Amino acid sequence: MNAKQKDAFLIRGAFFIVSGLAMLLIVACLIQRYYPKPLDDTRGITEYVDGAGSGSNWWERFKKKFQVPRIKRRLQHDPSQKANRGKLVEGTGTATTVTDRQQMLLRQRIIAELQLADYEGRPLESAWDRTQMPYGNYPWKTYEADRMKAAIFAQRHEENYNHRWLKPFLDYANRAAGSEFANFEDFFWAGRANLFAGDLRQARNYLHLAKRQWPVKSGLLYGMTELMLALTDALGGKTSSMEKRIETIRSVFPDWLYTEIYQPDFEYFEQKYPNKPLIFMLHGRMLAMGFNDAKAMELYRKAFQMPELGNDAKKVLRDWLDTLEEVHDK
Amino acid sequence: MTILLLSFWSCIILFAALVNRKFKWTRPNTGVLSVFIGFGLMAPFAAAYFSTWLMRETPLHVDSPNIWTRMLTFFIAAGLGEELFKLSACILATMVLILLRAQLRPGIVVLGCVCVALVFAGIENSLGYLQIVDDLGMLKRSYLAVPLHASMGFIHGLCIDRSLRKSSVFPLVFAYAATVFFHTLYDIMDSLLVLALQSAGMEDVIPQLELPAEAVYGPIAFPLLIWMMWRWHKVSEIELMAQNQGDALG
Repeated sequence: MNAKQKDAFLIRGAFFIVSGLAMLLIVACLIQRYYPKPLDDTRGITEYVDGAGSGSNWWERFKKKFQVPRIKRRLQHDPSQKANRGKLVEGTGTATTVTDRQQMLLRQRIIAELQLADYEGRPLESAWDRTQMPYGNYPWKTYEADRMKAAIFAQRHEENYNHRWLKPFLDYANRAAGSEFANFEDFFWAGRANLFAGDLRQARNYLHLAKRQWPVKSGLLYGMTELMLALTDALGGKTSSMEKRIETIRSVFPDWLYTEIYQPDFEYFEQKYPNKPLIFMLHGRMLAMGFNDAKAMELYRKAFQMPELGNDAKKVLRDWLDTLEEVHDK
Repeated sequence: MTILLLSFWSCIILFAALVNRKFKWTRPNTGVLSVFIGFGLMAPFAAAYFSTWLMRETPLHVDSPNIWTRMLTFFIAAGLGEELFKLSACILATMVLILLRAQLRPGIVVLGCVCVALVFAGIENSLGYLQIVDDLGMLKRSYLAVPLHASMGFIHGLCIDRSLRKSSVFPLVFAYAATVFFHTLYDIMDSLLVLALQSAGMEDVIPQLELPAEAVYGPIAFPLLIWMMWRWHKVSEIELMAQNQGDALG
């Protein structure tokens, strides 16, 4: 090939690359314009969890590899924090695992300030003005704020299941779970908030994500995650899935015998959805496993009388009820 | 080392096979290949950035429960995105070599483009799939996805060579269109299978159907690999050298 051909290729090659990139940009703009993402789905969780789950979003994982060292570096080089500099645990994966005593004390101080602001009726942001955060990184600071606010409102909501606390709990839990720093605990709280808000799909997605990322597949909160997933099944009318979860729940939920842990949740949902027989079934089954047969049978019978009970659920319920009645007859 | 070996072994074998066949009496210009590899190293990051943006900022996702959304995602992210960045890397490498006045023998451009594709596949394996795919999955990727990428690079190389000779932009457009088509077809093979079963009224079979990956993706990857090797074997090195000399004299 001669020099003329080579020169022509330079122009044509550049033209092709520029037009190709422009085409890609147009395609991206068109998708964003005509196929918008749901506003509450900040991390693509709905699409991500509904599918096979693993995903090929490897750029995200690649970026995360550098997040912990970056945050650690910022903590170490922030001149304002030389006095109370924290330390991240080596090799633990997330930046939230701060074990340094000063850091923990600071967190408690922030929570105390938040509670005080809440009690005094001041906006929660004022608590942050009164507390010096050791983090120079704005996204990290925002995430920490959202996480702690979500924890406070979750606590408030659990006290009396008042709807006044549900809205801020939902907002902050969703924001924390949507952050790039979110971990399994944030997904757990977001799942719980969405479950109480009645958004079953989103709740299920967050809970699945929490379950998948949970480091030790057992414990109180992990068991609660499994139980809440069973609740989403019960609310969604998925009998077989709920039944499978109940069978495995004892192996992952060491506190299943202490029914007072989850009793208030069940009572709340029974009151809120009086025509969902599967909730009564689930509640009854948990009580039966905890040897409270009388209450369990009462709940089973209540569920049995509901016209909304499907045929497959009726069959399962009949078995459970028969077993209990047989035991009692003996 | 294990990571490198798991991700790159088939890339190295393919590269060695191509070089051994074509360069019996000479060796490929390492400088020229280094330029291609250098640009090949950049391409996967650009493609990954685009895919991540697409899956974060739009409802499109490769794991979407909606089969059409999944297919559209593969078309845009893997087809339009990845192939554009790979082809752009090949074109940029060729442009740099032209500016550096390097000797561009016909075979070396094609081999360079295959190198871009192999580096792309290797990086994709090591950063994208090693953490989420088990060893058997990595092995399957190595003899399904890597040859597919290599054959896409081969198409890019042939068309860049044609574009250089004919002074036309159309071979580049053809290369892009063809590779987008094949790459998308490869990625959506499982979705097409599900659609076919659904249209045949065999929905019940779908959950039980556990076809091996090679049965699903092989019909696209293996013929392309065979075609690539056949094309590469067809012209001997002597002929290429003669062709090159003829061009230089002409």
